[in-house]
Amino acid sequence: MNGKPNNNRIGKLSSYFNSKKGFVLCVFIILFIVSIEGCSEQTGQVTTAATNSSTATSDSDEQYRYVTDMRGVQVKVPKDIQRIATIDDGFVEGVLTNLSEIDKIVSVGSIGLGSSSFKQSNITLNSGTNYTFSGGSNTICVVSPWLSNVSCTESSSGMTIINYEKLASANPNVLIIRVGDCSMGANDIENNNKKISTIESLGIPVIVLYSPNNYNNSGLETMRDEMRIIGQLFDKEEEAMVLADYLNNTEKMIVDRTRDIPEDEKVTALYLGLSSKARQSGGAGYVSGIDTPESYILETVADGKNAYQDTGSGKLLNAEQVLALDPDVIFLPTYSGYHPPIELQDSIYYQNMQELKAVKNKRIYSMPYTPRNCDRRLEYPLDLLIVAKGCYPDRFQDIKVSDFALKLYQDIYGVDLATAEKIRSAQYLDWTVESDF
Amino acid sequence: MEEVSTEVKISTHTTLDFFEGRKLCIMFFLAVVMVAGGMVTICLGTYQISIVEVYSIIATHLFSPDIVDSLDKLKNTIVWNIRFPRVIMAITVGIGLSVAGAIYQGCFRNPLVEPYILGVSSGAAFGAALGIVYPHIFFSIQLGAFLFALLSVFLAYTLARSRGQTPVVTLVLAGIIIGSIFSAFVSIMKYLSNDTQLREIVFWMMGGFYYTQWDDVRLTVPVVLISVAIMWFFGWKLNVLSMGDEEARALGVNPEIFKFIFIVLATLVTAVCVSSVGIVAWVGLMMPHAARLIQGPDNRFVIPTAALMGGVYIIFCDTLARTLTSAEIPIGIVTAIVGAPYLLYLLRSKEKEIFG
Repeated sequence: MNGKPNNNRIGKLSSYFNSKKGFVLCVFIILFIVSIEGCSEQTGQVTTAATNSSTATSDSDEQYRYVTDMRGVQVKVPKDIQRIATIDDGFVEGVLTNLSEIDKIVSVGSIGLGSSSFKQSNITLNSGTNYTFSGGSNTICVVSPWLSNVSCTESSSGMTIINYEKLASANPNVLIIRVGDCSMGANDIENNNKKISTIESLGIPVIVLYSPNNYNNSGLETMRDEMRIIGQLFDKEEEAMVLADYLNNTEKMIVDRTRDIPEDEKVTALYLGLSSKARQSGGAGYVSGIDTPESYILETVADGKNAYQDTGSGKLLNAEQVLALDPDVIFLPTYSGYHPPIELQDSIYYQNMQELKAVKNKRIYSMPYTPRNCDRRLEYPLDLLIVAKGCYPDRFQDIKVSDFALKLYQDIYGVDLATAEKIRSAQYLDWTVESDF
Repeated sequence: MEEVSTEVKISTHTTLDFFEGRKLCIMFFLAVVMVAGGMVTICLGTYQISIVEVYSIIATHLFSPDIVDSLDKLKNTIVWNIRFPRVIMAITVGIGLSVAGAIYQGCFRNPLVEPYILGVSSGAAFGAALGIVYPHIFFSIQLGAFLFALLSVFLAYTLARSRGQTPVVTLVLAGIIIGSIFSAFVSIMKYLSNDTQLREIVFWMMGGFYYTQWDDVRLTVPVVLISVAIMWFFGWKLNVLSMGDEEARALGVNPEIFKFIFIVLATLVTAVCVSSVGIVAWVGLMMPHAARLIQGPDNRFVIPTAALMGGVYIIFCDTLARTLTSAEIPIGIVTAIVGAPYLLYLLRSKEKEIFG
């Protein structure tokens, strides 16, 4: 009698777990156990990280200084900064290289600073020939390749997620954020504020810079403020201003040479971002409106005329719309990879563009490669010069962009000639040598 | 007289059912799993904080708020301001979407209905996209998502309403139509956006708990829990509605009124959840089915069971999203990857019931 009920219970239990209800319940138990397993492993990893990063500070106020960032907020930072974190796409790292402070970076916030993140471009010509362009990179990846091994707080998916705990684990003395770069988009105000307030509540001093992308109808002069603030952090404001003046001299030189161009002789030009994504959407390419930094370079610095007279950036135009604009010159910036002039002149998917004036006259120029091209970096004088010389070659005959690039890289990054040549290749500017531009 | 006696019969039957030990045990077990899951998850993160420290920080906030300032600022922020609201939000969203799914499935008498059936997700995505593309006009992404989520359902309901009635088929079709229109609007927003904005829109649509703060919790938790409580309270009415409008009328229940209440509450819950964390797929479809498989069709048990399962499921998926790779995966991707095979299993195992 005693054994019967037990057998029945076991039988019921067995049949219960064989049923659908039992199956679902089992799945939930397994999910829970797996969840706990994942947690315990992670906790182990975390312990090691924390041991390395737990350095307490009990310094007096004399060891701090106040720096006013571009929000107008006075930020208290250590006078002797030894550990820097950044969230930007290369500009801050460029300035830090110039100021010899780059080796203090312990954390970056952009996957764009990892050399493995860059796209290659595949182009098929009418003749059936295929070209593959690869090996391009952010200049900083050539100047300081070790940065790709530094802790990166952005999601590897490039989804602008900041891993706050990873950032805290890096234990930086200061975090420099550049709003307007890809990792912190200019228009994403609500989320940016959330991110900044969360980081500040971690006790990390946050210096916020605003890239030119944050301003409507912006020039490039706000980059001067960015450099000044970075200089102040290290008590190197003068050096930073020397850098800003050096960069600004190219702009002045170009403006001096182009300021007297009569209205009727102004060249119309178009930034045309060729992109496989654009083609999938039925378009020819993305263009930049008159309120963008690109248009500022074209109209204010080079004294040309933006063929696209509407506002906005990254506007998708179809072939007919581009043909209607029919610019004198076309510049090909980075869009989903690098684009050489031959792509527009001879690829099987741009046959409709052959009637463009710029294509017929072979006045197409590739811009330096800018992975994650929503930023303005330290090498911007090269952009100015390529645009100005592309529009008015006669006025810049004495300047070879190929040589100018080498000198620029050497001067701002302090690298040797061989490294400068590597940077030029990584920026896909070897065409300037080949065409003696 | 007949109607009254039938109602009494149902009520007696359900009273007995409610105290059925096994069902309560399952719910108790799930509640324990959910709470335990939350407690484990809160100890998980890239930054090393021991379990003792985690719980001492939480205990200090809960029982000795006067001495919170004496806590380590960094660890306090990570535990109290980053992890804790995230865990609470994950549980809340799981509960909310699962219950909304159960309610919609009951109201529409359709097992493939999910909380987004009336265009909530498309409407919310459009509102969020407006906030992303025009931040100076539509200053809050969350508010935009919430308002347009409600608007889409309101439009669908208004479209479907005819001669004082809201036929289920018409309502589903109206939801599909409104959803399509808002999807087209989202496409327009994508077209108008630049690279960064486009990334943000896509990112928002994949859902996630990355930006969760206490403000979001304060807004979401009361709305979800109160709505869920009301819906659970009226669970037996949903049983009646599940039989069909004619049968409901025959049993003395006005289907229009209760359908309206259920849809409004389920929509409110969905809109609040989606506006806070983006679109989290599959939870609202899967969990009610799982609950029904365990507890049977009685919605008084399906609703709380689905809620608890939803909480557990989202905690589990969020843990995967944070630990599977070195970077975080949007939770909408994880819930879809885990959920799709489940639906396949469901379709295969219930093939006869679904397809006849």
